[in-house]
Amino acid sequence: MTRRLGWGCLAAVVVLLALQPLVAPYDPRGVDLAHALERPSKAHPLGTDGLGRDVMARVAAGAWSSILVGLVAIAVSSLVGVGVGILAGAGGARVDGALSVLVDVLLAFPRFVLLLNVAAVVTFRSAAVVGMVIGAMSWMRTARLVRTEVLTLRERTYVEAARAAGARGARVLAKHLGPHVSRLVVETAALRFSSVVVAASTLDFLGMGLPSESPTWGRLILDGQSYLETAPWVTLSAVLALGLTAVGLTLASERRPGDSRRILRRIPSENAP
Amino acid sequence: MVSHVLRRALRAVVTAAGIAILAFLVLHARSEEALSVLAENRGVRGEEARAALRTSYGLDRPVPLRLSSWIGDVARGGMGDSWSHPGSSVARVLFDHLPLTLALTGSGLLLQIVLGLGVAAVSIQTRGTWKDALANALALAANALPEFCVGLLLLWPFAVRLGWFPLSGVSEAPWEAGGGTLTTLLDGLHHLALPAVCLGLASFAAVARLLRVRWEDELGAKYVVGAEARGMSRARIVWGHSLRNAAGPLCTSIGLSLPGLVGGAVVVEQVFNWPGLGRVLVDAIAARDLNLIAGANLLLALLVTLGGMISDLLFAALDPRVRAR
Repeated sequence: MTRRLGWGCLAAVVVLLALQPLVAPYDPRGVDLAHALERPSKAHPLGTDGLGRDVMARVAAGAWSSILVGLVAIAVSSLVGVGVGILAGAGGARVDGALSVLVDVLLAFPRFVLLLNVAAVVTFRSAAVVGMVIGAMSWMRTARLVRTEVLTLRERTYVEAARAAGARGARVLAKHLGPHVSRLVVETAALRFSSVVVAASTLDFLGMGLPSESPTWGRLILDGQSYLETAPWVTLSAVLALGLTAVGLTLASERRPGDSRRILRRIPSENAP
Repeated sequence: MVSHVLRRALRAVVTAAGIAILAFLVLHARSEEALSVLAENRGVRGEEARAALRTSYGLDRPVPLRLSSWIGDVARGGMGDSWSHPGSSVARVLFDHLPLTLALTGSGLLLQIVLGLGVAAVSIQTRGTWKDALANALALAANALPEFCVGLLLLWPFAVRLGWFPLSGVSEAPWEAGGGTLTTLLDGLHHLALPAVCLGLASFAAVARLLRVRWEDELGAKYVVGAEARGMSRARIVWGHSLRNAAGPLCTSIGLSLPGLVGGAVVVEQVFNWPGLGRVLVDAIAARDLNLIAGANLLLALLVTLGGMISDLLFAALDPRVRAR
C-alpha cells in the first residue's frame, strides 16, 4: 500500500507536467503586472504570483530544474561514492583508514550547513552546477555502503575461486563485484534523488541557490511566503509539488521484507536462495 | 569509565575541529569571490580600494597563515572580530543567540522522541493491519518532506487561517515589556510551539521505525512469555519490560540524528524567523562575514559531536552490557 501511495504522488506530479503546456502555456518568467496575485482561475489554473507570472508554468519549470539538479547530483555522488568505496574496500588498510576518517568527519556534520558554506563562496549560475556541488557533498553514505559490500564480498569463496582461476583484480572487480555494487547504487537512487532535490530547494528557499529570477520550487516558496496571508496559492502550489515529489520517491522506494531477495535472484551468485 | 569519557570527549572535539578547519579551507580557498560581494555591498570600486579592503580583512595573507591566526583567535576564546557586527567579537554574537537554538533543538528532540514513541506504539498494537501501514507511511512522508515545507504546512492553517500561533519569531525582548517571569515564559513557549513541532515532525521517523522493529523483537522474547504465564498485565509487559529493553539503542540513533536535527534547525529558524544560530549563520553568509561563518561552523560542529557523545554515554548508563566493553 505504501508503495502504491508513493507512485500515486509521483503520478500527480507527472500529470501536472503533462497538463501545463495545455492549460497554462505561459512563459515562467513572463511578468504581467496587470494580473498580479490573481486567484486560481480558468486562465491561470494555479493563479499568478506577485509579478503576475503564472504559478503553474513556474511550478512546471521548477520541476524541470529539479530533475536536472537531481540527475546531475546523483550521477556525481554515485561516481565519487563508488570510487571512494572501492578504494577504501580494496585499497589496503592504510587507505581504508584515511578514507573512513574522512567519511566519518563529513557525516558528523549537517550536510546542509556545509552546502551553505560553499554557497558563500560560489555563485550558482546554472542548475547543473548546483547539482554538481550537491553531488560532491552527498557521496559519503554510498561510499560507506560500497566499502562494506566490497569488504564482505572479497572474502567470499566465489571470488577466491575466480582468483584461483587466474582472474586479475580489475576483472574480479568488474565481473564479480560490479553487479553487487551497481545494485546498491540503483536501489538507493530514488531516495538519493529525493534528498538532493530537497537540498537544492532548501538552498533556493534561503535565497542562496540559483539567481532570483530562475523559477525553482525553493524560490517560488520563498517569494510566495510574503503573500501567505493574501495569496497562499503561490507558496502552497510549490510546497505541494515539492512535497509530492519527495514523499512519492520515498514511499515508492519503500521495500517489503522479501524484496531484496527477489532483486538478488536476478544476479547469479551464492547470495541467491 | 573516566578514561572512556575523556577519550570520547577528545574524539568529539577533534572531529569538530576537523570539520571547522575543512570548512575554513573551503571558504578561504575562494575568498576572492567573497571579497567581490563585500566590495559590492560597501560600494567599493576600483582595484586599489579593493586591495585596501582585502588587507583590512587579512585576506592578502596566504591561506595557511590565515588558518593559524584563526586557530589562535579561537584559542583566545573570542574567535576574532565579526565583520558584519562592528565592535563585537564572533564569540559574543554566537553566544547571544545560542540559547534560542538550544531551546529549539532541545524541544525538537523531545518531540521527536514523543512522536516516535507514539507512532511505534500504534504500530505495535495494530501490527500487520492498515493502521500499521498508515502509521509507517505517515512517518516516512513527514521525514521525506523538507523542513520548510512542513513549516509552511503548519504556518498556513494554524497561524494564518486560525491565528492560534504567531506568524514568526520571538517577541522583541518580552522581559522588557513588563509582566512576570511566567508571562515571559508562556510567551516564549507560544512562539516556540510551531517551530519545535516542525522540527520534531521532520525527524521522528527514524526513532519510530527503529523502535518499532526493536520493540517487536523484544515482544517475541521468552521473558515476555514467562511474564504472561505469571499473569502480568499486557500493558506492564509492553510499557514496562519490553520498552526499556528496546529503548537502549535509541540513544545511538538519536545521537546519529543530531546532524540532521541541527541542519533542520538552521532552516526552521528561517521559516519561523527564530533568531538563533541558524539565522546568524545564514545572515553571515549573505554578508560574506567569513569570520562569523567559521565561528558558527565550529560551534554547530561542537554541538553535534558533543551531543553525540552524550547520547553514547547515556546508552552506556542505561545498558550494562554496553558499559562492559
